[in-house]
Amino acid sequence: MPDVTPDATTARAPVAAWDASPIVLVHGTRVRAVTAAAARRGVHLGMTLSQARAACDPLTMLPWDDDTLARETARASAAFLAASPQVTPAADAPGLWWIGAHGFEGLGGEGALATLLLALARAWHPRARVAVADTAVAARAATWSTRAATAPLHIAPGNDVPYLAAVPLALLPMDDELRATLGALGLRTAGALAALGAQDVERRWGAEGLAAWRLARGDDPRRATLARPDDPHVIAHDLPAPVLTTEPLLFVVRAALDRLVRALAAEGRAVAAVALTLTCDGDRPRRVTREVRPAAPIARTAPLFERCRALLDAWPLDAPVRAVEVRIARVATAPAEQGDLLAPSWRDPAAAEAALARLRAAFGTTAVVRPVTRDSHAPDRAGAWEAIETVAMPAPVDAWPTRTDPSMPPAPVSDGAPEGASPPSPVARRLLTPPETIAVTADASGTPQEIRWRGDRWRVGRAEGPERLSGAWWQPTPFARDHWRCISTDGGTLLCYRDATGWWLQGWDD
Amino acid sequence: MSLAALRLHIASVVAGTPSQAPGLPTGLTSLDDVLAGGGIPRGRISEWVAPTGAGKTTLARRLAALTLRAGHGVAWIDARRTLDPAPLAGALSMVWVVRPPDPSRAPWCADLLLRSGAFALVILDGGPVLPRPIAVRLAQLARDADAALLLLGDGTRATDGGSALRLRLTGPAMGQRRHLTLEKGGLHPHPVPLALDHDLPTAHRLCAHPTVPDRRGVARTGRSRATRSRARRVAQPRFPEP
Repeated sequence: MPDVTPDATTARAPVAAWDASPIVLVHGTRVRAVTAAAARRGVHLGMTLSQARAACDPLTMLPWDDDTLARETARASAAFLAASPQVTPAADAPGLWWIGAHGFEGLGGEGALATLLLALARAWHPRARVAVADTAVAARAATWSTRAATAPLHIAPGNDVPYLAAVPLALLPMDDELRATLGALGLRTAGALAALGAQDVERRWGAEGLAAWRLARGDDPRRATLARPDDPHVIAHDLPAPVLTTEPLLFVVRAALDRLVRALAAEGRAVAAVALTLTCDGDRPRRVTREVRPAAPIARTAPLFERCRALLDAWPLDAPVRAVEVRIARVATAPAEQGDLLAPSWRDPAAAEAALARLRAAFGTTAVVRPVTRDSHAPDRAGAWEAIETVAMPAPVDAWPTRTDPSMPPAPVSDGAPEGASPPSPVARRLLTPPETIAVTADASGTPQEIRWRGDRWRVGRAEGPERLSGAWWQPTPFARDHWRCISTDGGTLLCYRDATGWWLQGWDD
Repeated sequence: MSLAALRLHIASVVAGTPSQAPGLPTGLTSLDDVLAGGGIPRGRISEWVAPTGAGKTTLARRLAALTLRAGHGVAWIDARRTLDPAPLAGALSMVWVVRPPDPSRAPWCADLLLRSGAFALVILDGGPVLPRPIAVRLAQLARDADAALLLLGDGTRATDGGSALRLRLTGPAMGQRRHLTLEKGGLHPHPVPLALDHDLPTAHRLCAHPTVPDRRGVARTGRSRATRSRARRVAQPRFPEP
């Protein structure tokens, strides 16, 4: 069935009252939907408000309302379920449904189904249309045929490709820019696009062009799926008294999430997005909604709750909150990956992701990091911390590290190990950022003999150096230092340097 | 996995009790041999205490690398923000290093990471000595997550209670060996001193990582030691004296 945007040239059935009035739905500063009457007077999608007003006066402008649209879509879907169990509202195309028509041979066939669907759809719009085809792209194109205006249109099985060959490119879903480019090249029909070579299409227009090319050849993966009339996955709770802290909210959110997730998990579904809405009191009462979107659908409460907690932690409450609403904004099929009972090392990536979100919310995006090396000769610049953006859990490595594996730190000590059992490698090191000033007693040659730092004193048993390092003269922070590696008499190894400003402790081996 | 081990494992999962998984090996055969389970116990708190520079970070790095190689998640809370990333890169590139802005937030980080259940080893490095109530709470979380919580401390202890194992490292005096003492948590009821055959390997600072090229071309010339030492003595800094 087509969307409610009318086609004035095929108007034979009576027109809905609202469709006979010049009305537009406005999203932001642009027109997003128009009625037939408005379209006849030159208003079209994408116009600015002033352009629309200039084209049509009087013109009624209403705001685009996702909630109302979702509610009506769900209501219509529930009505279509009386005809077929496979009912899927088309994504990003309000007013369009894919409905399964297989297996109706014993119930009058596709013709009876289409007639019933048309009768149901005309409760919403008197000029609703139904078309039956092997593929969704062909069915949608057929609904724009003038023959579909009065009765359901059938495309014979196996004839989708010939039918699509004559269909204008405007009826193929694709990016407007791509459509304009194809039009500029003289391609007018889906058949013309389908006649191009796949390699040429991919080379010129990439994956998007290739997707349009597939559709033009009748290769459309979209199918109607088994529909289930959804209850709205929402729990709203009015607090007994307005609160200014998040702790009371967390109790409500946890309980609500528990109920919602449990209900979804029982149906084999998972949560792809949760929306939290806070109703705030104050001078101007208002509702604020924010969403949590895990990287993959989750059917467990704990990681979702941690994500919601991270969201609330980072949510400054500037007015008392008097109501909370928890809504499952997007539902998805539960992922196939499951925990492994027999693998003790299996850990939940969603839980790690939730922990990452909370740490980042508490300490900032650079709080959780991993070590990486940098190509620098300065000891304090040879490594860096790189922020962890996504969760990747380690996989077991069957092969034991070899002596030549450069990434593996050696066994630091080993009883009875033969000499040289481990390759030489550095010990772990601590670095002070920034380095701290120290008091150094040096001999006549400048070699450190004693170091005082933070009230402690180290007698230097052996000092290696100096190593004169300089660099970064092209940066705002050039350096020129004499580095010393001082092994104290009690075994510690301190990394010091001396520059124009004095002695500094850079770190120590540990 | 044998049938008996499988039966035990399923029973532990069904009962909700911590698994009887072996400990996390440290890579020190002398230490692993005297630890029940052959390594750092999971589901418990362990503490390693040592003075500055005694080598506890190197040991912890080895433990973390082995744990990662076994396919377990590892988180390292660098409470004092003094870890040098260069020697950790490579084998520990999959480790999560959490650097809170304040050391006092480190126990909270440990709480969060243990609670997630995503890590088999959480290292709390350089945080304040854990008060007993917090230690008990973290021990509970470690048990629930079947994870090992390792505390690294500079003083005589890292927690006021709740630890199952305490290992003390003694920095080597000049010309002597480094020593470990297993004060608590071993197979034997009394402290076990562990002597080490050779010292911790040390490396020159500029060879911090094998993938970083050594650019000290001067050190590789064929000059004699006497020439080099004379050159060092006469070398003057190119910057003004302090």
